[in-house]
Amino acid sequence: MSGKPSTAAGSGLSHALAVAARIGAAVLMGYAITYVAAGAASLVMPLPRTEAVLWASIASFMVYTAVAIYAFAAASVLRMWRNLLLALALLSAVVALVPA
Amino acid sequence: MLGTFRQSMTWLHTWCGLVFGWVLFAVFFAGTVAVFRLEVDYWMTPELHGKLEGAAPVATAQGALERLAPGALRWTIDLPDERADVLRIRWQPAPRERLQSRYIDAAGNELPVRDTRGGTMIYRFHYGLLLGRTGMWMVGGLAMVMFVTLLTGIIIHAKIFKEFFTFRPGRAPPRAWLDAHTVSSVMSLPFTVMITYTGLVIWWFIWMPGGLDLAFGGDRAGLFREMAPPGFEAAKASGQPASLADLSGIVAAAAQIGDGDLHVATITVFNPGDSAARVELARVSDRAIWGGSDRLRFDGVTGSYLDRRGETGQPAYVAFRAFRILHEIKFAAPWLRWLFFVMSAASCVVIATGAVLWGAKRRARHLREFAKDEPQMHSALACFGVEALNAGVIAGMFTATSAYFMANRIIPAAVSGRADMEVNVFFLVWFACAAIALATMLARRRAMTQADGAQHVLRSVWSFQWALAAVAAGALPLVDQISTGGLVDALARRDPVLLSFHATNLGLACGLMFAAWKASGLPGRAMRLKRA
Repeated sequence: MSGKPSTAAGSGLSHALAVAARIGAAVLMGYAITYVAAGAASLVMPLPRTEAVLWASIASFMVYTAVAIYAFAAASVLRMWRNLLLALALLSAVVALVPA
Repeated sequence: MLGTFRQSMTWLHTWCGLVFGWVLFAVFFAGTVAVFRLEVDYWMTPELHGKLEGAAPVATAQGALERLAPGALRWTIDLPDERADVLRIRWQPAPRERLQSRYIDAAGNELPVRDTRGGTMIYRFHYGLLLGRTGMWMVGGLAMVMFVTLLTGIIIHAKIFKEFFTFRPGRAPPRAWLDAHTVSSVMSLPFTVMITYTGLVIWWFIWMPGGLDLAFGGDRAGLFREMAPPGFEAAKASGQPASLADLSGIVAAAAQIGDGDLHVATITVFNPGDSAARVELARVSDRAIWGGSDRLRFDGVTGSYLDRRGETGQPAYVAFRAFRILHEIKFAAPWLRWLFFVMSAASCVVIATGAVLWGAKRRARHLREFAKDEPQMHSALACFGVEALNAGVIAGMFTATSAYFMANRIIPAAVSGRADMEVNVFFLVWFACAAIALATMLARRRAMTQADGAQHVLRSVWSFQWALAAVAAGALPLVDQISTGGLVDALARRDPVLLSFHATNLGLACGLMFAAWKASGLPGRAMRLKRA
């Protein structure tokens, strides 16, 4: 679980902050993105709705895992947060625009 | 007390990691026992042991239901199988009335059964820690972290599969131990990945309901109703009395329908005694993860075969059900269930040894520091208290489970509220083990500021906790024999389920004794580190 924050060479405090930012992204953004992604995928998959919901939900834990890994693998904490927020916005737009 | 920010973070990190490890161990431990939850249920209701010898279960149950529930809306018969040789009848007397349930013997007489939560309590603890929705969220979060840890672990140790083939038992002991550790970890890895992911998928609608909420209006019941295979249309009573066909004949006729390896698990009779009575047989197979079960419908008066509903479903529904059936290993041949048990137990061993090694490593570091300058009493206790608690929680889980089983035999069957008392015994003994571990250390606190003394005390704490767990597991057959004469009875009847239960406990006792012996010698390496 150890990160390699961009500011790793800095003081203990900034290192701790960078790790906290990565953990926060992995746990909270990971959940938010996965939740909305499961909704968006359920809406756009060309399958009966129950099937789409089920496939999306079964795969959702893989999405969560991928986001968590990305949160720690990305070189820059700021860019990582920006990308995750963009992904969340994009997926939310899909949920908002596709009729249920 | 916490000092600088960095120190407080270290403190938080240690405790979070430790509590995480404890709950993880508890969940895997309970999951391992839950593989045999029906067998444990059976052991925990001794009133039902050996009561069906020479019985014709279907005819006996039909006779008992005709006597006890003549005008009921619906009868259900749960037939005995190799996991639990018990016969249960249930009936619904009238609409919106509570379902009645009785266990019966070979003669059709009711068997009074002690009030117990049985192995089902351990199964519930496994997925929710008996803390309701909060507990389920804790287990879900834990499973998610576990899955990420497993995947990243595979990424980190990409060489792991090469290392798998480098077992060097002839080398110096630490190297051989490490290799053995690698081999066992790699072997249990596929199982652990599978069991963690399937576990997450089972409760997706609680843990990740994004699809359900955003694309299905959050209507969980509606979703499952739409997905489930269509059942038979509801049976309606005609109001004309007619006597029920012989259910044994219907079961015999069912053997000619479909594959040969299906066996009848449950018989349901709708409107018994009515001319429009219907009989439904639920059949299961031990050979398939999906598609191995079906339902048959018969006319309840003529006994003629009417219709069959196999397991059907859209692909995602099949995948979801298969995940669930795989995780719960509900219908399987005994060898497969044992394989699950062994793999699951191996995961427990990996977690428990991880906790032991974590403590030993930490201990060695502190002892080196203490060797340089004599520490204050409170800092020594803070350093080593964590490890003492670790011993109490990990080894205490074994002791608490054995105590739960013993409570089942020791608390008299007639006492009211005894099921809750059994569960309380489990938790009290678990907490008591942790408290004993701390108390043993505190009682010898003066020794703790010396490196050798601390070493000695911690060694005895671990050793004592494992020995306690070993004695508790080893005493179970004795307690069973003294309280209900269960052991000799099981031997006399060669009851495979009860004998397996006792054999497993004796094997466990031996393993725990080995751990107690090992724990008393484990810190030897740390001692050498200190002197170097």
